[in-house]
Order: sequence, then C-alpha cells, then structure tokens
Amino acid sequence: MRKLERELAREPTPERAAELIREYVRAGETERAFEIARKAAAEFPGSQEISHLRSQAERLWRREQIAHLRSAIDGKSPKPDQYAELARLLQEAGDANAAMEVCMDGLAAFPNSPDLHVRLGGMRMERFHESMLYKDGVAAVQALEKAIEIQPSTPDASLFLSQLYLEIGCTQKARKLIDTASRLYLNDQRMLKLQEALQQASPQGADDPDRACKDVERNQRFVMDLSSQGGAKSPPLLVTPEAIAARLDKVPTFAGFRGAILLGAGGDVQASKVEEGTDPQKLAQAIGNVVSAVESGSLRMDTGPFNEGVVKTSQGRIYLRTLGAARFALVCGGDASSDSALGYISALTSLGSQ
Amino acid sequence: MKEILEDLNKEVGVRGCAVVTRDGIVVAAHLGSGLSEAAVAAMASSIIIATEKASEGLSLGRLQEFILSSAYGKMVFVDLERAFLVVVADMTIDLDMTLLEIAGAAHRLRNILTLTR
Repeated sequence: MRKLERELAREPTPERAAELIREYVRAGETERAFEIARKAAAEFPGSQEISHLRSQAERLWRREQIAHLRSAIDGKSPKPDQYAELARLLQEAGDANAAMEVCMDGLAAFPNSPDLHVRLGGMRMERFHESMLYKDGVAAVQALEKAIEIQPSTPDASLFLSQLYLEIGCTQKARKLIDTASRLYLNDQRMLKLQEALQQASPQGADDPDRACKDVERNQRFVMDLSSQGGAKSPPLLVTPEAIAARLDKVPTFAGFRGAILLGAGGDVQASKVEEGTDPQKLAQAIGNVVSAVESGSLRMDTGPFNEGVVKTSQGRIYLRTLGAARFALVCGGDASSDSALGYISALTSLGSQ
Repeated sequence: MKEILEDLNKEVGVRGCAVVTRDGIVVAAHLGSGLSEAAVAAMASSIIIATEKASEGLSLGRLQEFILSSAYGKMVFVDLERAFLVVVADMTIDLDMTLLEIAGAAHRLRNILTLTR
C-alpha cells in the first residue's frame, strides 16, 4: 500500500486512487480509505468509480464509528457527547428513528445535556417539516426550549427555535429570542436571514406553541415558509382529485380490475369506477375502515403519515395510496398482473397534464 | 419462536417484530426500544380486523400479506393462519431483500403454531 501511495502522490490518476482505496478497505483500514476517497473525489469529481468508492468507504467508516460509539456507551463511563455523536452518525446514515432513540437514551442518563436536547429538537423539527404533525412540532419546541433553559449559548438551539417559532406563527416569542440570540450569532448568515424573516412576520393569535403546532397539523401548512433557508418544505405537488375523476373515465381498465375509488379526507367518495357486481358504497366503507386503521397505526408506531400499501389476499390485491388529503384505492382480482395494476395507478395519479 | 423473531430483528432496519393474534394477544415478541407490546398488539389487531373485513366484503378471500409504507418507516403483516407476524421497520430497510427473510421466518413460525395446535 505504501508503494501505491507513493505512485499516487507521484502521478495521481483515478485508477491509482481507486486501487489504493480498495486496498485499504480490504485491509480493514476504513478511516484511511475514507480519507483517500474524500481527497480523490475532490481531485477527480467526474469519476463515477471514485464517487462510488467514496460512498462505500464513508458507509464503512460510519458503520465502524457507530459500532465504536455504541461500545463506548455500553461501557463503564459513557459521556453525553458520545450519545450526541452517535445520534448524528445514525441520522447521517438515514436512521432517524435510531438516532432519536439514542438521544432519548442519552437524556435518560444525562437529562441536563443541552447538546442532546438540541440534537433531539433538531431531528424532531426536521420531522415536523415533513409530517406537519402536532406531536413532532411540540416535541421539537420542548427540546429546544429545554436546551436554552439549561444553557442559553448552546450552539444552534436559538437558531432552530427562532426559525420554528416563526414557522408556526409565534412571532412575539421569535422576536424575543432573536433579540437575545443575535448577540451570540454576530454576522451569522442564518441569523441574518431569520432577522429578515422576522421583519415580514405578523403576530398570530396567542403566541402559544402548543396551539400553533395544532394549527399546523389541522391546516397542513406553516404560517411562514422558510424552506429557502433550509426550513419548512413546501408540500409535494399532487394530482388533483378532479384530474383523477376525469382520468377514471378515460384510462382503460385491465383484466382482473374490480374497482378504483378516491375518498376525501372525511371518507366521502370523490370519484369511483367499479365493475358490475361491486357496490361502490361497500367499497368506500371497506377502504375507509382499512385506511383509518392504517393511518392511526402508522402514527402509533411513530412511522409517520401513511403513504401507500399493498394488501395481498388469496383471491386478489388492494393497492392504497395517499394523495394529499385524499386516499386512492385499487381493487384487483387474482387474475390481474401487478404490472397492469401499477401501470393503471400511475396513469391515474401521475402529475402529467392535469 | 423467540429465536426466529430475534434473528429477524437483526435484519437492517427492523425495529421489532411480534406474533399477534387477530384479537390482539401477543404470542411472542422481540421489540426494540420505543415499541411496546401493548401498542404493537393494539395497532396490529385494529389493522388486521379492518383489512380482513374489507377482504371478505369485497370477495377477495383470505388476507395473506399487507405491506405498509409511511413517511419514516414500514410495516409488514404476514398471515400465520392462527396469528400474524408483524414486522415494524424504519426507512433503512431494504424490503426487497428483507421480505425473503420475513417469508422464511413466517414459514417457520407457521410450522410451530401448527405443531402446537
């Protein structure tokens, strides 16, 4: 490997770098492999092979760090920053649930760690941006307020909480916090953007975060969209119920098709198409009951809002999709191919021209 | 049964799994932190009953498998005849790969449940 390192230093090429990265990965030296991969990716940005190896080396390095931190935490004297770092790595690995669990375990052991409160608050806030669920918003506010209560200068706590207050419409609280925190974040671009946003914000109601988070969940929107500053995301573009209703008449059905139905938020039938022998009301009731159980179950298991599902039975399948506030279901018999069913759903629900 | 669930729990992304009857009785469970037996049992029973009723009402026969995807996780229900295998997973799960493991576990669990009949 030393020879390869010398050759790479003398004459850097993507092929040499790739070979060296592979050698270090094979030898189990993931930290060095990742270091070389990072440098090579910066030097050869157009190389797909290097880009792939960099991702692979990073994953291996992260996995190793996670195992190392887990073992340190399970040891005799774990530290709060080990929990915070483990949570950060898990979050980077895409395992937000595990990251939150680590924060909560850390807070059970170190309830006054401001860093853990901020880490947890930040993750809850990120989830709130996507889910718009009351419980995520309130958990984010509580964690961030706690971090500031313990240590007002905790990095990021005031920034996150100011943004969140603005997004949910607690303008007075945001103003007070930004006034106090701006001294901690002199010339920080993020704080300057929040100050700008505050100028445009108007006071909303009781300035009560609990009520404000409930309003976000009920209205499915934030009072202030700070998505351009890395905050709230706009809801995804969705095909309208009217477009689906119109397409139900046009899109041809397939062998095994039994029925398709679009239900509104209250379970009302917005559009349907059924084969002879299938009762639309019976279909609406059956699908409504399943969707209601599934949505409540998803939230109870903390897996967030329900997106889609497939029920397989001895004589057919039911496909379910969430489309904003509406729910779509397709029912097929056992003779329907899944390609036909998925193609049909795509033809009905893709954005295309509405 | 416990061993089968423990093995399944080692799959990447699996947060917990349990064998639950239609009426919400937990036969066996191996759940990660943050998941309680009572909550999983209540959730599973409610979803299974609603889906079985729908399947029956729409003349689709017996419920065999139900895969749900939500914003931050997935859930899988597999019929074991006398109960259901319930798997709760996070977004990191590679369902294409793990479904084979789930099917294998369901097969072994079904055999155990049949033998203890």
